[in-house]
Amino acid sequence: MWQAVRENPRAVAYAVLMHLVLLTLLVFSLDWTPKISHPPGIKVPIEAELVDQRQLQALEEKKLAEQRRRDEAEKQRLAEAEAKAEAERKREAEQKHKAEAAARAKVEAEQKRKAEAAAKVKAEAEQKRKAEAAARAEQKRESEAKAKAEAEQKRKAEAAARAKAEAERKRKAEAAARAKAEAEQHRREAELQAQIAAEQEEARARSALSEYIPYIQDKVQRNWLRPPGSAAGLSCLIKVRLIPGGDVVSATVVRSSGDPLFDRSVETAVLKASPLPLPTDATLFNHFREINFNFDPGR
Amino acid sequence: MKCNISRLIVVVLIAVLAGCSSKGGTKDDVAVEDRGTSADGGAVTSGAYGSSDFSSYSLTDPNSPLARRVIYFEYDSAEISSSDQELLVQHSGYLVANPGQHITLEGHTDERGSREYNIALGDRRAQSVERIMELNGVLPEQVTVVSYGEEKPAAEGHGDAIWRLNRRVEIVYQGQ
Amino acid sequence: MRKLGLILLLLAVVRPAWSALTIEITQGVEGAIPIAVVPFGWSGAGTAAPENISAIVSADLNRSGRFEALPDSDLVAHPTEAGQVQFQNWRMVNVDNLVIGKIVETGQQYSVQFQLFDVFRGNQVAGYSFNVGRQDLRRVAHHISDLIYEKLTGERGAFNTQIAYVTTSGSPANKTYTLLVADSDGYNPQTILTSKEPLMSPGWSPDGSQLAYVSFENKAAQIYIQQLSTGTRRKLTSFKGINGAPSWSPDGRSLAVTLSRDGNPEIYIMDLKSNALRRLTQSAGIDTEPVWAPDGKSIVFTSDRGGSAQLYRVPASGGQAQRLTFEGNYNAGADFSPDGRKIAMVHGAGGGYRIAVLDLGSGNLRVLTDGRLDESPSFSPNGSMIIYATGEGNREVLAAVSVDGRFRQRLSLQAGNVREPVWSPFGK
Repeated sequence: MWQAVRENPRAVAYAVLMHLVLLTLLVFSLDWTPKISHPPGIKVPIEAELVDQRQLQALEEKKLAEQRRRDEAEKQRLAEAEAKAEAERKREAEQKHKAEAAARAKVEAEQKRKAEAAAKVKAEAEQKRKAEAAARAEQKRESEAKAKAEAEQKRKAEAAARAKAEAERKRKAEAAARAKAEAEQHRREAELQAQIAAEQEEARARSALSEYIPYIQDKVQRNWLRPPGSAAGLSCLIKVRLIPGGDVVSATVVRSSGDPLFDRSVETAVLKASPLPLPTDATLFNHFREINFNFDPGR
Repeated sequence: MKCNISRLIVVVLIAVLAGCSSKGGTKDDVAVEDRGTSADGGAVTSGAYGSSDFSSYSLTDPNSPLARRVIYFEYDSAEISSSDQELLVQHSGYLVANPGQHITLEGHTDERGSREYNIALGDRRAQSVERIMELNGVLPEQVTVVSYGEEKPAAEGHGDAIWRLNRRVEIVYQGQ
Repeated sequence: MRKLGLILLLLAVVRPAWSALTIEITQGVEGAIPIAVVPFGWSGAGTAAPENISAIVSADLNRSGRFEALPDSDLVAHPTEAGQVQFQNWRMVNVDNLVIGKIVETGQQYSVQFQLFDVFRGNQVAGYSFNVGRQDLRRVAHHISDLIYEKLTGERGAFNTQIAYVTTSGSPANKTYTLLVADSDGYNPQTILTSKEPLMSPGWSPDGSQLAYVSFENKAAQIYIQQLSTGTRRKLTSFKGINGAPSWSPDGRSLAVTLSRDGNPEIYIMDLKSNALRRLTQSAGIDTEPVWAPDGKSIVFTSDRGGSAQLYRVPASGGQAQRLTFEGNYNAGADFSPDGRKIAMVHGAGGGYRIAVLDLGSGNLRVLTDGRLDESPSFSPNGSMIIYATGEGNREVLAAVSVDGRFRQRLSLQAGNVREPVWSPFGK
């Protein structure tokens, strides 16, 4: 507080003055006259006049009223004064506030200025630093770039050398591959030819099969005496070996029917059907060298 | 019921016949030819075959109604024709009059079918005949029923004509 | 399958080793097995053996319907020993099997040997030898037939069995009835009984030692049982009326018979020990011709309770009878197959009477003969054949038919009329 007083002497003076004025006013507005109070025992000399009770009363009432009016006026005055004082106080307070605010603001502004200035300085320093750093970085980059470029050149040179060698190798490999491919080609061609030949053979065989299988089937079926007592659903697989000309040289049951009589009838059938009808083209014999017969009447 | 009616008819017929013959007067004056007398059969008085006295019928006289002793049947049947029933009445009458006389009814069939079944069929036929005779008063003790099925044909061979002759019941008089 | 073969073929193309082709065979032919029975070699007195064994065997095999024996005139060679056999010869005449043999007389005995060959495989299938007296030569021949039959068909042969039958001879007014037993091929007939009155319905006891039959010798139908080895017999039933159709129970302890003592023909079962009678059927009509099922649990009989002669089946212990036959207007004279699955009968339809076989499982009826008056069917004990009576011209003869109906043959027996054949059980 005392700092404030010192820093704002005028403001304080005015404030004190105001307070004094107000105080004075207050004092003077008060009614310091003491009220005459008559002790009860002492009779007040009244202007004797016979007064009407009513009049007395009226007077009394008047007096009361007066008193009341006066009291009220007093009250009012007091109130007004109070109000005034209040208002004053308010005004004062406001002013104080304002002044304080202003002072604060000032202080603040000052601070702001200071801060800004500091910041500015900082910024400047910062910029400086940045610039320096940038400059340094730039230098670095340049030197690096240089180094890179040198390295690059080195590498390129090496790569070039390698590529050369590689190319050389490739050329050699390609040459070898080509040679291989050619050989492969020859082989495949030969194979293809063989395949064609085989397919032709196969086609001939297929047509021979389709022509001769029915004959073979028929001959075997004609010679197969089915045992009448055998159960339904029996089947027997028999492997037959032929020699050129169709003669059966061996007949072996590969999968028995479970009924020895049925199996035997199957064996007899293929033996009786010998020689089997085969195509006259002896080159196709290999397709008929070995025949499996599946005896499966189904019923 | 059939029996009763036919019986009635027969009785009426006989009555008529009796009437006819008795017109002739004495026994010797019969309209019917008398061929009966032969060495072995003369015991029974040859009389009016039309009379209702069945006991007078001859068992040996081929003219006697009793000479017919075979009843024929249709295939697989045991039914007796009405004319055969008449015949049975006559045989029955004789038997009633001669309660000591015994007969055998032989049932037969034709050869078709299995043998034991034919035995049963022949038996059925013979029993049909027996029943009619018993209805006509013949005593059960007088009758024996035997079935031979197809075992004793009357005619050998095959075909309808032969078979018809074999489907029969024969009345065999004991002691004959 | 053929596709598979082609695929295999394709694979074979790629690989140098060829793999096998597979061909489907879905049918064959049905028929008799061709067989050659070569006349047996004879070593003994005279030009030939007392019995032609190969001829007996051929006839047996033919009669069964399962074989077709090459006629003697078609034989390409006459080997009597294995070393003499050239299979190629027999392959050319397409016989599957070959039978050769030898008879050697040594004093009163005969050594009989035979060998059975598989022609196409070129090996021996069976070979046996026997030592018998002269009277057993035919029996040995039938035994050889049985062995060949069993080896090649897998079924038991029934050639070494007998048949009982009745003959009539003489003029119609003077008939003689004879009950005989002969070999199943009709040879060696033995008289069991002779009578001037009808003889009927012979029936074999299960052990083949006795025959039951119906005789009218006392002017009425009566049932007798006779011991074959001794000829002794006893009268079993002689009730009033019908006594007929005797049929032995499979255990040999009872006889089912037809009696009409209660009025009309019914089936009764008689205990052979106690002679106690138990009535099995109740109907107003005809119930006759009982025959036992091989398991002894039921009896099939002929009845006209439905209006015509049909076959019915009733439990042997008694109960409701069930009708079995629904085809034709006449079905009678039943005989059970030994396995109990089929019934042979006299079947009347369209005016003729033929032998038919009813398959009890499927209910299918199959007519086997085509005579006009065929009767008295009787199964062989191996169930493969049925013997029956038929007419030939004016004569009554016996014939045999294979159960599948494929083969029929007349039995050549003596002169006279032959009827009511019954096949003996095994072991006779």
